[in-house]
Amino acid sequence: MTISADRRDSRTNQVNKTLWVLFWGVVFLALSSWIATQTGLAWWQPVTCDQSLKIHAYRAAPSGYNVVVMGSSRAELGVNPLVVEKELSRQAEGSLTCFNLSQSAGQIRTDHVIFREVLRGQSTPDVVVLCTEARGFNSMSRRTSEYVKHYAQPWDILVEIRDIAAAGCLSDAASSFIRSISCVVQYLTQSPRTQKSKNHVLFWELSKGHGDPFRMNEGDQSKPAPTPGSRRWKAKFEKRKSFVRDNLLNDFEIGRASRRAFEKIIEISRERKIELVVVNMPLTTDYMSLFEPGEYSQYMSYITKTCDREKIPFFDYNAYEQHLPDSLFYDPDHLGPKGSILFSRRIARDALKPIFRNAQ
Amino acid sequence: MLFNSGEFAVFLIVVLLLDMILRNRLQPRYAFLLAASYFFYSCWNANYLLLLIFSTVLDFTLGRLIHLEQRKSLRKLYLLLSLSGNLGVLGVFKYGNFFIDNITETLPFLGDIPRLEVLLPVGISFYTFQTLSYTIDIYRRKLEPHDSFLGFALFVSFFPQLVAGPIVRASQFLPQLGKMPVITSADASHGFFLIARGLFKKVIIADYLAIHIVDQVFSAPGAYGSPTILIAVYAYAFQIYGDFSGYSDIAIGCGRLLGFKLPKNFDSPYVATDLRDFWRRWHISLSSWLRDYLYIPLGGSKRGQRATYINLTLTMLLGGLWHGAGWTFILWGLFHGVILAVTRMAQRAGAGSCARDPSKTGRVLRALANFQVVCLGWILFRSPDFETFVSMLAGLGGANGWALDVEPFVIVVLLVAAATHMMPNRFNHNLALLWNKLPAPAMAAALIVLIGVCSFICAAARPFIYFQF
Repeated sequence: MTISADRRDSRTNQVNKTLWVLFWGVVFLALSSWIATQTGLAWWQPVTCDQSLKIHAYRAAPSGYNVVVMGSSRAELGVNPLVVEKELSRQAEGSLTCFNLSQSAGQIRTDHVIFREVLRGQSTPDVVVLCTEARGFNSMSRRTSEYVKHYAQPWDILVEIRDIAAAGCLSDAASSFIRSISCVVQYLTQSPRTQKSKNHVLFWELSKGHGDPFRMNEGDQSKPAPTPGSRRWKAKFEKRKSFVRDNLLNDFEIGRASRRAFEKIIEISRERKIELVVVNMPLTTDYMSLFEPGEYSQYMSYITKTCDREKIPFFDYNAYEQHLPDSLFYDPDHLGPKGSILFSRRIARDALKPIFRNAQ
Repeated sequence: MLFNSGEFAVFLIVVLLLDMILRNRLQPRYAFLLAASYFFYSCWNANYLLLLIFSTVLDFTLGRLIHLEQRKSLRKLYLLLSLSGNLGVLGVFKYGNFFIDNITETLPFLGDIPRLEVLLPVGISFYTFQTLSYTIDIYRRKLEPHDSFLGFALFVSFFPQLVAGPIVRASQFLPQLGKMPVITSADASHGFFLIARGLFKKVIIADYLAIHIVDQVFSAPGAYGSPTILIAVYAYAFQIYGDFSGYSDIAIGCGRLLGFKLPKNFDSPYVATDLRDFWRRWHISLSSWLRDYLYIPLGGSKRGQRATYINLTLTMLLGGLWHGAGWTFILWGLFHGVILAVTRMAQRAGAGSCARDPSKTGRVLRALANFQVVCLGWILFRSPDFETFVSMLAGLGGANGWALDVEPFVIVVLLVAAATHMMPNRFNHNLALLWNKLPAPAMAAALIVLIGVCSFICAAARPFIYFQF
């Protein structure tokens, strides 16, 4: 009797201790996330410090932006918001503002999470230019799935649970509290309060999210960009070739998660009355040679059919007639400064002006 | 699911909560834990779950046949079937393309042999060795086959140790089934302590060092001076320790929370005074497996000195091959085998003299010396190819100059790693006792702070990955 009483007691103790630790863990998680939200920090994703500060810079703008560009580092370098604004202001009445919210290593699934979590409320733009590429849709990609795990997946699950729980709440306060539960204490440490963080935020505010390859890749600051076809270009390309094939374009397949993410973006843009424009990013001939037969056409077929079905304007800047010469590229898949100016003007002229002209 | 991911945290919480509900009902509980383990494995690749199930069914069946069969020849046949089935699968999936590539290179007249379109199934090396321990122990009549297929399947696929060990013997795990789990409050506290310690080692030490120095230096050793390379090598030693032992800690901690005691896998290996001692402290579950199922069957030390050295070298060579399909792993294993043999030779020759220096200073010096030898092996282990290994050695010798190009915080993390590693066992023991005394709110707060710091390190530790994409 003593033994079974002891066992029962120890089992109760263990159950109690584990339960209590889990309970208090959830409480502290909620409390720290509430503090993080109240202090207005860039709270929502365990992204690289630099990228989360860009989101902070975007959200800190008092009146939001008319146009937001989304995509990966290709869009981050390729679309210069200041050039877009200047081009738009030539015809539009008043000035229109643009911010490049592209995330390095971003892909369609991270675009979806940003779309859902950042472009809301006061931060809702009029137009989103979604810059897509085949790599961003590859569900089997080894390396980008790591970054999806960092950007979106853990919080995707929590956010889904949160949304279900919040939807079941009877009051807004309870719903709001539950939404805060999804934040974590790490965002406290991503506070733009250190000088380095403030410098990052200032950079993003001034450049409106436009990346600078010479700043970001500091090692190359002393050297000019390699010329396409040169020895340096070829050496750089050779180094990246196996990485791209083995980690980014491996086992190319547009899986369910990628499709769902894209469809959700379209759905959310309709709910929030955001005009969505899809743009296929330009690539060099070298990079295009990395695709195996059928891969690129799989992506193009999917994106064109979906945009056609959903009646979303689609601009293919990798098509032959739109192709930008390789000399405008910084590396096989990122536009250089001159290429960025030219490309930004094209987007403003082809994709954005008709929208704002119709709106007037 | 990685152990240091949010989704694993959610998964673990759900499993713990449901396990508590099912605690009094053994069979439903094991069925639930098995389903959870299969779910955990299938999050990586559901197709390769079939391989896991194949190994489970094969060895459960053959285990019973071996036990029931009296004729030695048939018992041997069944054991051979188990060995060939398990090692065959391991050979094809892990080493198939390695052999094909080498054959293609050395025998070009055979033409291009098509490579196998397979991925390496996660954890295959671990669960293969686990199931083999079952059939071999039954063959040796050290173990009786388990009655329940459910229990055996749980032993093979138990999620905390499925993908990265420790390699649990059937004789250690199976007796824990069939009994009502008795888990005290101290067990629960210790489970959380191990998880916290594992996260600290894995994320704060290992991941940080990997990203901030190790990966950079090993990818381009020619660009770094000798002191930087040396620090990178030491950093790698602590990175691999933090990574591996951190995972083991989390695995053992999760097992504890579920009422299972898994064996210790690391015991401060870098304080070892020689390589024999090192292998008694490093990846204990693997080294003991190799000793019991490879070294001893080969004859161990019972067939004379020459045979002992050959057996040691062969065991370590195969141990190196177990780690990965690559020549650097094989050479690493060979390196350890040769050094072990030489150590044994020296100890035999020096027995009675200064071979065992009882002084503390002597032990410290020997541990430092042994650490250098182990680090030399790690250079080979980490190098993606032989050229990188040579380049690293050349760099260490000053071929690229003597510039020191290391972030100060890397040195801080390295010193913290070394200091915590060298702490005496009683310090760790006292820390565990202190942790166990914490009330639940304090324990939870500590865990949340640690998770927050880990997340910050994860985010801040990622370099600007711009040009990879």
